[in-house]
Amino acid sequence: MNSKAIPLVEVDGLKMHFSMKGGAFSRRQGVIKAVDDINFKIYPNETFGLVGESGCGKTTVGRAILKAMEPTGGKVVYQRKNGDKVDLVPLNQKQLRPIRQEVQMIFQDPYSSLSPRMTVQEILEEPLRLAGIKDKKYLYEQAKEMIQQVGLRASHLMRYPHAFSGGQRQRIGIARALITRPRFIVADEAVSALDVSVQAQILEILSELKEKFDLSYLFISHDLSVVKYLCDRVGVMYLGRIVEVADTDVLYNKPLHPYTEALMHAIPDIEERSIRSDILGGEIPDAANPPSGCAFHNRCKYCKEICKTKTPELKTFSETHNGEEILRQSACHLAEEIYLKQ
Amino acid sequence: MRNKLLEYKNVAAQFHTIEGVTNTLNDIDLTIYEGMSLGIVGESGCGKSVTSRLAIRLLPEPSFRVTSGEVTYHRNGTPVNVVKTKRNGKEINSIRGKEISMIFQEPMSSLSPIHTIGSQMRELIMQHTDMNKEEAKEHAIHMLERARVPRAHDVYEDYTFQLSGGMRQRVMIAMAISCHPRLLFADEPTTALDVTVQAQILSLIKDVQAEQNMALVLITHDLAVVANMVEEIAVFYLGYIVEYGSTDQILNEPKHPYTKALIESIPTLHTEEALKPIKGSVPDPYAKITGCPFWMRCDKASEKCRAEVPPFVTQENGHKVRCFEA
Repeated sequence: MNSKAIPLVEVDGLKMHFSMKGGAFSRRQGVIKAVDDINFKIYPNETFGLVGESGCGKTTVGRAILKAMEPTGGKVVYQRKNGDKVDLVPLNQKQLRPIRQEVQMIFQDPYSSLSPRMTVQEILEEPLRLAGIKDKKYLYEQAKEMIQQVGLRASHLMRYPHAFSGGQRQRIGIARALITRPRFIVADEAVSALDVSVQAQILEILSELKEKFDLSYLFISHDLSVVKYLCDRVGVMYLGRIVEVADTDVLYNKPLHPYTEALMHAIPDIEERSIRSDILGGEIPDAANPPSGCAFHNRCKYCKEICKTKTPELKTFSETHNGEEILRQSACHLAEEIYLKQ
Repeated sequence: MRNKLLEYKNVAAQFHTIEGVTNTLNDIDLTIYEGMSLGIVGESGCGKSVTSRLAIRLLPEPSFRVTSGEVTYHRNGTPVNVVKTKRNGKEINSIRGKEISMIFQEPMSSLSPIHTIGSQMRELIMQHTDMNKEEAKEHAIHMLERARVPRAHDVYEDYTFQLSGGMRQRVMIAMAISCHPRLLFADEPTTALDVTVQAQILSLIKDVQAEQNMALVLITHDLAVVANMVEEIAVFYLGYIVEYGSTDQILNEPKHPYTKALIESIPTLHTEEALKPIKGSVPDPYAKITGCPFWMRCDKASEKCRAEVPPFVTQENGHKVRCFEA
């Protein structure tokens, strides 16, 4: 974590609550805290991974940052190209429009995220048209350049999405996100719908383009191995909260939260061919009715009395890793006891 | 000497659709023995699911046609050619769900949304056994408990939509093993699940296999999943088996360029090596390909590879490969 650099995106206390207003027939009423008080920073040219199981709120975080959803509270401070810092949360859609050029999104499903009635050229030109560019020749030149950047050919521009395979469509989705020359991209499960042999290609393209266009990514995924491959820093989410943040190599070397540890153990691995005996039991709890104290306590093998009553804060720890002092964060009451005093 | 349970002999099959004809299976030679665990690995469209469904005739006919070969199920010593049985006839109906059973990827779409878990399980059990309603209920609850479903009595009365994804998959497993099958196909049983739940379900399947002493065929796109689960692996590509061997042979000494490339293109937790993606993508199923199915993505492809389909050759210790170069 380079503390001197100025963050590109600073998420501060982000909250996304959904109220369940039941009608006469509804049995449940209350508030679902899908995202509750999330803080993290993404630095220029950094890939920040957000991992967690389904229902932990990772997608909601991505959408709230891009204002595809209206956050309930908190700040998303984005540093624009010209150096201005803006909080995206209070802005309306009109005010956001110039910023939309700089922040873009890549979606999970390459089949539903491209309009079947538009040619690839129209799909790629649309973000620029929305920005008010009308010069047809310029639009075509841009589309042509971008399609080549993602490894397809200019002749593909005339075709419709149905003529492409899943991997090719995901390339088109990437080209569409990049055509406005953004600085920050939210990639939500961008490779999970793809076959393994194609997944590796897309991961390569993403890291190549990151260097070429000086991009920063928020890479949202459930797959810890993919995150390890692509990301510089990782945040682990559980039930709407971040439970651990650290540099990728630090995190994978030694987790500082029991959930991260359990998640890593659950991943089947080609190298280590054994079924672990300490499989995490149970399932992610209902977000409408979260457990008291630490949300993970009912599945945690280290659980103590304090975990049942007091919600842990995300605390910063310092540690020496490869001879350097590094900072990392964990939201576990027992982090020091379990992991650091060994 | 292992006893044969299900045998595919030179099976070729096609789908005839409006868009054309696909060569879905080509020269499939595969033997499943009693009590063994086999992994079938491949990417989407490689024919892995079709291979399993063919054994219990779950494919849409007449658009699906077996053009050559036979699939023999050894039923207590009497061989039955499944392909020749009458579709939905008595014989295949008494095998399907009872002796050969299946777990699907999407439990929500393979369970009925309008019947309780109990009534679905009872129907299956009463179809295949002489139990009456009460006995069937007791047996169903016992099976749910075997699949480690907590509060089995309550779940018996529940509808599918009341259960979580992991719990639905447990119910599917309970149903699949309720008539003590000799062979269980698990077709991507954990693909729709979270990693922690996936680990639970995989270890459950492994336990159940040992308890019931049945054969298991685990079909998946994820080599890492089969690595921990099975004794032998068949790697499929574009309707061909390109490599077959023990889990050690396939993972430690892969011989086919596709298997090698597949292993190198998977990101893992324990290695720092850069990924080596396979160039290109799986060809369109309607495309007519001559020669080896993999040549256009292979670095070693020669003139011969483009012209002829390599034979499926047995090398040392039962390791089989379909490649001229290996």
